[in-house]
Amino acid sequence: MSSGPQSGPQCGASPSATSPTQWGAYCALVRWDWVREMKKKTTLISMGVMGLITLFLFSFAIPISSTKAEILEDTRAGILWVTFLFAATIGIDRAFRNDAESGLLEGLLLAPVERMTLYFARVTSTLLFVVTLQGFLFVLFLVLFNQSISGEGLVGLIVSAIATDVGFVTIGVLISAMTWSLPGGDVMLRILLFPMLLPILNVTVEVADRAFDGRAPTAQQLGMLFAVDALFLGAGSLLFEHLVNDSGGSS
Amino acid sequence: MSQTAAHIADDWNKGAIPGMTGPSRGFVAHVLVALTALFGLNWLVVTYVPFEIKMIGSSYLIFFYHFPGAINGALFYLGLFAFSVAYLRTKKPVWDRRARSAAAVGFLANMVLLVTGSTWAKAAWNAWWVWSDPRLMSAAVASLIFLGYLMLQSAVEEPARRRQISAVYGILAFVNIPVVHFSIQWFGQTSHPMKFDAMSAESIVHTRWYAVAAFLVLYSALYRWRYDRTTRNERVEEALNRIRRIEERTHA
Repeated sequence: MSSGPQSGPQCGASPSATSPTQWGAYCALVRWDWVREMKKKTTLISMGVMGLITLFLFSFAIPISSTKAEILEDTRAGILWVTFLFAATIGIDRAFRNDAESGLLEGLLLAPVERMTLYFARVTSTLLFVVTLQGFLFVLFLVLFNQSISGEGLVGLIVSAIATDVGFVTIGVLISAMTWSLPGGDVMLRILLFPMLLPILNVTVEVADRAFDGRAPTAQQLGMLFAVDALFLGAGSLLFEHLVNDSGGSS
Repeated sequence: MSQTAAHIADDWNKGAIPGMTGPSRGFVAHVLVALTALFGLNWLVVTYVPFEIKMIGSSYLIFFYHFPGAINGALFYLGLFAFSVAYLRTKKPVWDRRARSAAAVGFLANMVLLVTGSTWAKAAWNAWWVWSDPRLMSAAVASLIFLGYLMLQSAVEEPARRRQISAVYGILAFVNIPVVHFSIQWFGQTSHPMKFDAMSAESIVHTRWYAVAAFLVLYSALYRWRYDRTTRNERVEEALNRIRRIEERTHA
């Protein structure tokens, strides 16, 4: 774990080689995930390309032109979030699948690391990938769809996007731990995950819509997103160990 | 025949495997009570409640079949949650079977809710589906979440793993229900006909809650049937596995 280059997210002292603290182990796991991804970039590139393709598909599905600008004004927030969702799901699906296929997950489960630490580390690294992806796709969206956003709207959009991402990734990583070992697990992940996300997407698309009009999100909207984050974080931290403790570690 | 195989055959002949010898008397009585209760509901709808009310006319009568779907669906989803928690705590397969049966019946109740709601929407709004109605949308999203639970049952082959994943997802699905409800209620656009003042007349309220009870008897009979069937299938599978192991030992 500590053999990789010492770059990427830093969060405190390195764990001792023999008995890492949980915080140290958490930092090491996040750094390890980040460094591995920066070396190969397979997940980020897959997510980015998927997002790009989705944006192009929308240009065929919706009659977007300068003469029908109002159509884009009504749909742009939805286009943006559906693109984020489709692209980010690739990263979530790989949260455990890649490690399991290469045999690393078994080693991780045998390591003296609490399950909750492993879960939060995986949530954090996946969140970093998703936020990076969203930054890239958002700029691409503004350029390709000829959109602009003002300061207040942009701040509101960023805050609500991060709040949504926390809930999305928290629940996504938990469901990914259920589905990676199943035949057709990538499809099952989407079947189980997307309906869970529909309520918060309903709110966050509304917030994005307001943001494009230059308005900040309401307190009720942000409250809803943060409440969902708290609920999903609580559920994830309580339930994750049940998915990896029995049945021979997720097998 | 070996002694173990003889025991299995003996169990089989005695009807120790539920459902193998046909429905029990208790189950038949349960179904008869349910049918009688539903007959009583139809009688109340025809004779007790007003034939039509302001603004929505007689189309409101479908709510006596629609409303029980919401309440009973929620009750069975609560059952799914409780049984899933019990499974994770005890690891006894009986709780998994109960959870699966509750999820199937809860989903059925939810589908009755959606179909009757959609039928009313066609009569009142001239559209089978109205995307802006918060209650319709929250019921639809809840259905999709629990449909995922049911699909999970056939997606996982190994029984112990299936039980574990299902219990976790069952809990997750239930805790997400308030999120579904409030996010769509708060940020939806139109009001539901159940909010009309005319719906609070005494006869309507009495009949509505009688309908919930009548359908609860029906859904609990279906739950019982489903549970017995699941138990029977699992025991048959266990028995076949034991026979296969005996045969393998005999041939070895």
